[in-house]
Amino acid sequence: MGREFPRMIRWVAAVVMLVAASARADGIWSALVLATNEHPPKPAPVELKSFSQGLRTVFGYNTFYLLGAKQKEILKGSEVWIVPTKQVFLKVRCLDRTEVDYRVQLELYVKKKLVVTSEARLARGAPLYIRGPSWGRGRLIFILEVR
Amino acid sequence: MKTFEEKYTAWLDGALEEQERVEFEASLPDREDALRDREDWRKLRGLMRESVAPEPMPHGDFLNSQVLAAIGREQPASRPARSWFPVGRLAWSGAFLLAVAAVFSAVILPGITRTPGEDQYISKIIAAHATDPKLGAYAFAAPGGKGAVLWVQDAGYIPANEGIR
Repeated sequence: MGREFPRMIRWVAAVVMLVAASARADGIWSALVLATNEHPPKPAPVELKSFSQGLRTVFGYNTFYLLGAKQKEILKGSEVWIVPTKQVFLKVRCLDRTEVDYRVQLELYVKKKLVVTSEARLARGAPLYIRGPSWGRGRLIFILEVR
Repeated sequence: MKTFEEKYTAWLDGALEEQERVEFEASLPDREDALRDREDWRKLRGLMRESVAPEPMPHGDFLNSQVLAAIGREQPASRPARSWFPVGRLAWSGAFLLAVAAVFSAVILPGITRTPGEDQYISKIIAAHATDPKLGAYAFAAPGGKGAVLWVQDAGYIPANEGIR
Protein backbone atom coordinates (compact mmCIF):
# COMPACT_ATOMS: atom_id res chain seq x y z
CA MET A 1 0.00 0.00 0.00
CA GLY A 2 2.92 2.32 0.76
CA ARG A 3 4.20 2.08 -2.81
CA GLU A 4 0.73 1.92 -4.31
CA PHE A 5 -0.41 5.29 -3.00
CA PRO A 6 1.94 7.56 -5.01
CA ARG A 7 1.22 5.54 -8.13
CA MET A 8 -2.51 5.95 -7.50
CA ILE A 9 -2.12 9.71 -7.06
CA ARG A 10 -0.24 9.95 -10.37
CA TRP A 11 -2.89 7.86 -12.09
CA VAL A 12 -5.78 10.01 -10.85
CA ALA A 13 -3.90 13.21 -11.69
CA ALA A 14 -3.26 11.97 -15.23
CA VAL A 15 -6.94 11.17 -15.74
CA VAL A 16 -8.05 14.54 -14.36
CA MET A 17 -5.55 16.41 -16.56
CA LEU A 18 -6.68 14.46 -19.59
CA VAL A 19 -10.30 15.29 -18.89
CA ALA A 20 -9.50 18.93 -18.23
CA ALA A 21 -7.59 19.17 -21.49
CA SER A 22 -10.40 17.59 -23.45
CA ALA A 23 -13.01 19.82 -21.80
CA ARG A 24 -11.04 23.02 -22.41
CA ALA A 25 -13.05 25.62 -24.25
CA ASP A 26 -12.01 26.51 -27.79
CA GLY A 27 -10.61 29.82 -28.87
CA ILE A 28 -11.53 32.19 -31.64
CA TRP A 29 -9.62 31.97 -34.88
CA SER A 30 -9.66 35.26 -36.78
CA ALA A 31 -8.34 36.30 -40.13
CA LEU A 32 -8.16 39.44 -42.24
CA VAL A 33 -8.61 38.68 -45.91
CA LEU A 34 -8.19 40.79 -49.02
CA ALA A 35 -10.67 39.74 -51.69
CA THR A 36 -10.11 40.71 -55.32
CA ASN A 37 -11.20 39.71 -58.78
CA GLU A 38 -8.33 38.56 -60.94
CA HIS A 39 -8.07 36.88 -64.30
CA PRO A 40 -7.20 34.14 -64.04
CA PRO A 41 -8.16 33.69 -60.37
CA LYS A 42 -5.44 32.58 -58.00
CA PRO A 43 -5.90 29.63 -55.66
CA ALA A 44 -6.78 30.44 -52.09
CA PRO A 45 -4.12 29.87 -49.42
CA VAL A 46 -4.35 26.71 -47.38
CA GLU A 47 -5.83 28.51 -44.37
CA LEU A 48 -8.72 29.79 -46.49
CA LYS A 49 -9.47 26.65 -48.48
CA SER A 50 -12.51 25.80 -46.40
CA PHE A 51 -13.87 29.35 -46.69
CA SER A 52 -13.14 30.15 -50.33
CA GLN A 53 -16.40 28.82 -51.72
CA GLY A 54 -18.46 30.71 -49.14
CA LEU A 55 -16.46 33.89 -49.67
CA ARG A 56 -16.88 33.61 -53.43
CA THR A 57 -20.62 33.10 -53.14
CA VAL A 58 -21.29 35.82 -50.59
CA PHE A 59 -18.94 38.56 -51.72
CA GLY A 60 -18.50 37.82 -55.43
CA TYR A 61 -14.70 37.78 -55.54
CA ASN A 62 -12.57 35.01 -56.99
CA THR A 63 -9.19 35.54 -55.37
CA PHE A 64 -8.38 35.77 -51.69
CA TYR A 65 -5.21 36.77 -49.89
CA LEU A 66 -4.63 36.10 -46.23
CA LEU A 67 -3.27 39.30 -44.67
CA GLY A 68 -3.12 37.96 -41.15
CA ALA A 69 -4.58 35.31 -38.85
CA LYS A 70 -4.40 34.32 -35.23
CA GLN A 71 -6.00 32.01 -32.71
CA LYS A 72 -6.93 33.51 -29.34
CA GLU A 73 -8.78 32.25 -26.34
CA ILE A 74 -10.87 35.14 -25.06
CA LEU A 75 -12.06 35.05 -21.49
CA LYS A 76 -15.48 36.28 -20.48
CA GLY A 77 -15.40 40.03 -19.99
CA SER A 78 -12.10 40.54 -21.78
CA GLU A 79 -11.56 42.14 -25.18
CA VAL A 80 -8.99 41.78 -27.92
CA TRP A 81 -8.09 43.51 -31.15
CA ILE A 82 -8.40 41.12 -34.03
CA VAL A 83 -5.57 41.39 -36.55
CA PRO A 84 -5.05 45.13 -36.03
CA THR A 85 -3.80 47.12 -39.02
CA LYS A 86 -2.95 50.73 -39.68
CA GLN A 87 -6.35 51.50 -41.13
CA VAL A 88 -8.80 48.86 -39.93
CA PHE A 89 -9.45 47.57 -36.44
CA LEU A 90 -11.91 45.01 -35.18
CA LYS A 91 -12.44 44.85 -31.44
CA VAL A 92 -14.02 41.75 -29.96
CA ARG A 93 -15.37 41.76 -26.44
CA CYS A 94 -16.48 38.45 -24.93
CA LEU A 95 -19.87 38.87 -23.25
CA ASP A 96 -20.35 35.19 -22.44
CA ARG A 97 -19.02 31.84 -23.42
CA THR A 98 -19.94 28.21 -23.12
CA GLU A 99 -18.22 25.08 -24.30
CA VAL A 100 -19.78 25.39 -27.73
CA ASP A 101 -20.11 29.09 -28.44
CA TYR A 102 -19.15 32.66 -27.66
CA ARG A 103 -21.43 35.67 -27.39
CA VAL A 104 -19.38 38.67 -28.43
CA GLN A 105 -19.69 42.38 -29.01
CA LEU A 106 -17.96 43.61 -32.16
CA GLU A 107 -16.73 47.07 -33.03
CA LEU A 108 -15.35 47.82 -36.48
CA TYR A 109 -13.12 50.86 -36.82
CA VAL A 110 -12.01 52.26 -40.16
CA LYS A 111 -9.37 54.98 -40.04
CA LYS A 112 -9.82 55.16 -36.28
CA LYS A 113 -13.51 55.88 -36.68
CA LEU A 114 -16.14 53.55 -35.25
CA VAL A 115 -18.23 52.33 -38.14
CA VAL A 116 -20.36 49.49 -36.84
CA THR A 117 -21.21 47.88 -33.52
CA SER A 118 -22.74 44.47 -33.38
CA GLU A 119 -23.55 41.63 -31.06
CA ALA A 120 -23.10 38.14 -32.37
CA ARG A 121 -23.12 34.54 -31.36
CA LEU A 122 -20.19 32.47 -32.60
CA ALA A 123 -20.64 28.72 -32.74
CA ARG A 124 -17.94 26.15 -33.22
CA GLY A 125 -17.15 25.57 -36.87
CA ALA A 126 -19.65 28.18 -38.08
CA PRO A 127 -17.72 31.20 -39.41
CA LEU A 128 -18.78 34.82 -39.17
CA TYR A 129 -17.86 36.99 -42.15
CA ILE A 130 -17.66 40.77 -41.78
CA ARG A 131 -17.55 42.86 -44.90
CA GLY A 132 -15.13 45.68 -44.30
CA PRO A 133 -14.00 48.66 -46.34
CA SER A 134 -12.66 48.63 -49.88
CA TRP A 135 -8.92 48.67 -50.32
CA GLY A 136 -7.58 49.45 -53.74
CA ARG A 137 -9.40 47.25 -56.17
CA GLY A 138 -10.35 44.73 -53.50
CA ARG A 139 -12.34 44.35 -50.32
CA LEU A 140 -11.23 43.66 -46.77
CA ILE A 141 -13.11 40.86 -45.05
CA PHE A 142 -12.82 39.61 -41.47
CA ILE A 143 -13.46 35.97 -40.67
CA LEU A 144 -14.13 34.80 -37.13
CA GLU A 145 -14.56 31.15 -36.21
CA VAL A 146 -14.62 29.21 -32.93
CA ARG A 147 -12.00 26.45 -33.04
CA MET B 1 -24.39 -58.56 29.08
CA LYS B 2 -20.77 -59.11 28.19
CA THR B 3 -19.86 -61.77 25.67
CA PHE B 4 -17.27 -64.39 26.37
CA GLU B 5 -14.71 -62.63 24.20
CA GLU B 6 -15.16 -59.39 26.12
CA LYS B 7 -14.84 -61.12 29.45
CA TYR B 8 -11.81 -63.05 28.23
CA THR B 9 -10.04 -59.93 27.03
CA ALA B 10 -10.78 -58.17 30.30
CA TRP B 11 -9.57 -61.21 32.21
CA LEU B 12 -6.27 -61.20 30.27
CA ASP B 13 -5.81 -57.53 31.17
CA GLY B 14 -6.82 -58.14 34.77
CA ALA B 15 -9.70 -55.75 34.47
CA LEU B 16 -12.47 -57.98 35.91
CA GLU B 17 -13.98 -57.48 39.34
CA GLU B 18 -13.00 -60.10 41.91
CA GLN B 19 -16.34 -61.88 41.95
CA GLU B 20 -16.63 -61.67 38.24
CA ARG B 21 -13.11 -63.03 37.83
CA VAL B 22 -13.89 -66.03 40.10
CA GLU B 23 -17.08 -66.79 38.20
CA PHE B 24 -15.28 -66.44 34.81
CA GLU B 25 -12.37 -68.72 35.86
CA ALA B 26 -14.88 -71.27 37.13
CA SER B 27 -16.62 -71.23 33.78
CA LEU B 28 -13.44 -71.90 31.83
CA PRO B 29 -13.30 -75.44 30.38
CA ASP B 30 -9.53 -75.72 30.95
CA ARG B 31 -8.51 -73.25 33.61
CA GLU B 32 -4.82 -74.26 33.73
CA ASP B 33 -4.43 -73.85 30.01
CA ALA B 34 -6.09 -70.42 30.16
CA LEU B 35 -3.79 -69.32 32.97
CA ARG B 36 -0.77 -70.27 30.83
CA ASP B 37 -2.15 -68.33 27.94
CA ARG B 38 -2.57 -65.27 30.17
CA GLU B 39 0.97 -65.57 31.41
CA ASP B 40 2.30 -65.83 27.86
CA TRP B 41 0.27 -62.77 26.84
CA ARG B 42 1.64 -60.68 29.70
CA LYS B 43 5.21 -61.63 28.75
CA LEU B 44 4.56 -60.83 25.13
CA ARG B 45 3.05 -57.46 26.02
CA GLY B 46 6.05 -56.61 28.11
CA LEU B 47 8.39 -57.47 25.29
CA MET B 48 6.38 -55.42 22.83
CA ARG B 49 6.48 -52.41 25.08
CA GLU B 50 10.21 -52.67 25.38
CA SER B 51 10.91 -53.14 21.67
CA VAL B 52 8.33 -50.73 20.31
CA ALA B 53 9.44 -47.86 22.52
CA PRO B 54 10.85 -45.03 20.27
CA GLU B 55 14.57 -44.86 20.01
CA PRO B 56 15.84 -41.39 20.92
CA MET B 57 16.94 -39.54 17.77
CA PRO B 58 20.46 -38.17 17.74
CA HIS B 59 20.69 -34.41 16.95
CA GLY B 60 16.92 -34.02 16.85
CA ASP B 61 16.98 -30.24 17.15
CA PHE B 62 19.31 -29.94 14.19
CA LEU B 63 17.03 -32.12 12.07
CA ASN B 64 13.98 -30.07 13.09
CA SER B 65 15.70 -26.83 12.12
CA GLN B 66 16.68 -28.33 8.73
CA VAL B 67 13.10 -29.41 8.06
CA LEU B 68 11.72 -25.98 8.97
CA ALA B 69 14.31 -24.30 6.74
CA ALA B 70 13.33 -26.56 3.82
CA ILE B 71 9.65 -25.67 4.33
CA GLY B 72 10.58 -22.01 4.40
CA ARG B 73 12.47 -22.30 1.09
CA GLU B 74 9.51 -23.99 -0.58
CA GLN B 75 7.15 -21.17 0.48
CA PRO B 76 9.30 -18.03 0.30
CA ALA B 77 6.49 -15.54 -0.40
CA SER B 78 3.81 -16.54 1.96
CA ARG B 79 0.92 -14.33 0.82
CA PRO B 80 -1.57 -13.05 3.30
CA ALA B 81 -5.00 -14.46 3.11
CA ARG B 82 -7.04 -12.67 0.46
CA SER B 83 -9.93 -10.67 1.67
CA TRP B 84 -12.90 -9.28 -0.21
CA PHE B 85 -12.19 -5.77 1.09
CA PRO B 86 -8.43 -5.19 1.46
CA VAL B 87 -7.39 -1.57 1.89
CA GLY B 88 -5.46 -1.48 -1.38
CA ARG B 89 -8.37 -2.70 -3.42
CA LEU B 90 -10.73 -0.24 -1.76
CA ALA B 91 -8.34 2.62 -2.48
CA TRP B 92 -8.01 1.65 -6.12
CA SER B 93 -11.78 1.39 -6.38
CA GLY B 94 -12.10 4.88 -4.94
CA ALA B 95 -9.55 6.26 -7.41
CA PHE B 96 -11.32 4.59 -10.31
CA LEU B 97 -14.69 5.99 -9.25
CA LEU B 98 -13.13 9.45 -8.88
CA ALA B 99 -11.83 9.27 -12.44
CA VAL B 100 -15.20 8.06 -13.71
CA ALA B 101 -16.90 10.96 -11.92
CA ALA B 102 -14.49 13.44 -13.49
CA VAL B 103 -15.12 12.08 -16.97
CA PHE B 104 -18.87 12.03 -16.36
CA SER B 105 -19.07 15.58 -15.05
CA ALA B 106 -16.76 17.05 -17.69
CA VAL B 107 -17.87 15.23 -20.80
CA ILE B 108 -21.18 13.46 -20.43
CA LEU B 109 -23.11 15.66 -18.00
CA PRO B 110 -22.82 18.89 -20.01
CA GLY B 111 -24.16 17.05 -23.04
CA ILE B 112 -27.14 15.78 -21.08
CA THR B 113 -28.01 19.01 -19.32
CA ARG B 114 -27.55 21.28 -22.32
CA THR B 115 -30.69 21.94 -24.24
CA PRO B 116 -30.33 19.98 -27.44
CA GLY B 117 -30.89 21.63 -30.76
CA GLU B 118 -29.22 22.53 -34.00
CA ASP B 119 -29.21 26.18 -32.94
CA GLN B 120 -26.12 25.70 -30.80
CA TYR B 121 -24.09 24.96 -33.93
CA ILE B 122 -25.13 28.13 -35.79
CA SER B 123 -23.46 31.50 -35.66
CA LYS B 124 -25.73 34.49 -35.98
CA ILE B 125 -25.82 38.23 -35.70
CA ILE B 126 -28.00 39.22 -32.75
CA ALA B 127 -27.84 42.96 -33.37
CA ALA B 128 -25.99 45.35 -35.67
CA HIS B 129 -25.88 49.10 -35.66
CA ALA B 130 -24.10 51.49 -38.02
CA THR B 131 -22.87 54.62 -36.30
CA ASP B 132 -23.42 56.78 -39.36
CA PRO B 133 -26.95 56.90 -40.79
CA LYS B 134 -25.45 56.97 -44.29
CA LEU B 135 -23.91 53.53 -43.67
CA GLY B 136 -25.82 50.29 -43.52
CA ALA B 137 -25.32 47.15 -41.45
CA TYR B 138 -27.14 44.00 -42.51
CA ALA B 139 -27.02 40.47 -41.20
CA PHE B 140 -27.87 37.23 -42.97
CA ALA B 141 -26.91 33.58 -42.96
CA ALA B 142 -23.93 32.40 -44.91
CA PRO B 143 -24.27 29.67 -47.54
CA GLY B 144 -24.67 26.35 -45.80
CA GLY B 145 -26.80 27.87 -43.07
CA LYS B 146 -24.28 27.58 -40.22
CA GLY B 147 -22.22 30.71 -40.70
CA ALA B 148 -23.33 34.33 -40.63
CA VAL B 149 -22.49 37.49 -42.54
CA LEU B 150 -22.33 41.03 -41.23
CA TRP B 151 -22.58 43.16 -44.34
CA VAL B 152 -21.40 46.70 -43.77
CA GLN B 153 -22.48 48.87 -46.64
CA ASP B 154 -20.15 51.71 -47.58
CA ALA B 155 -17.71 50.96 -44.79
CA GLY B 156 -15.18 53.23 -46.42
CA TYR B 157 -12.40 53.22 -48.96
CA ILE B 158 -8.70 52.92 -48.38
CA PRO B 159 -6.52 53.86 -51.37
CA ALA B 160 -4.15 51.17 -52.52
CA ASN B 161 -1.15 53.35 -51.88
CA GLU B 162 -2.05 53.46 -48.18
CA GLY B 163 -0.71 50.34 -46.69
CA ILE B 164 -2.98 48.51 -44.33
CA ARG B 165 -0.27 46.59 -42.55
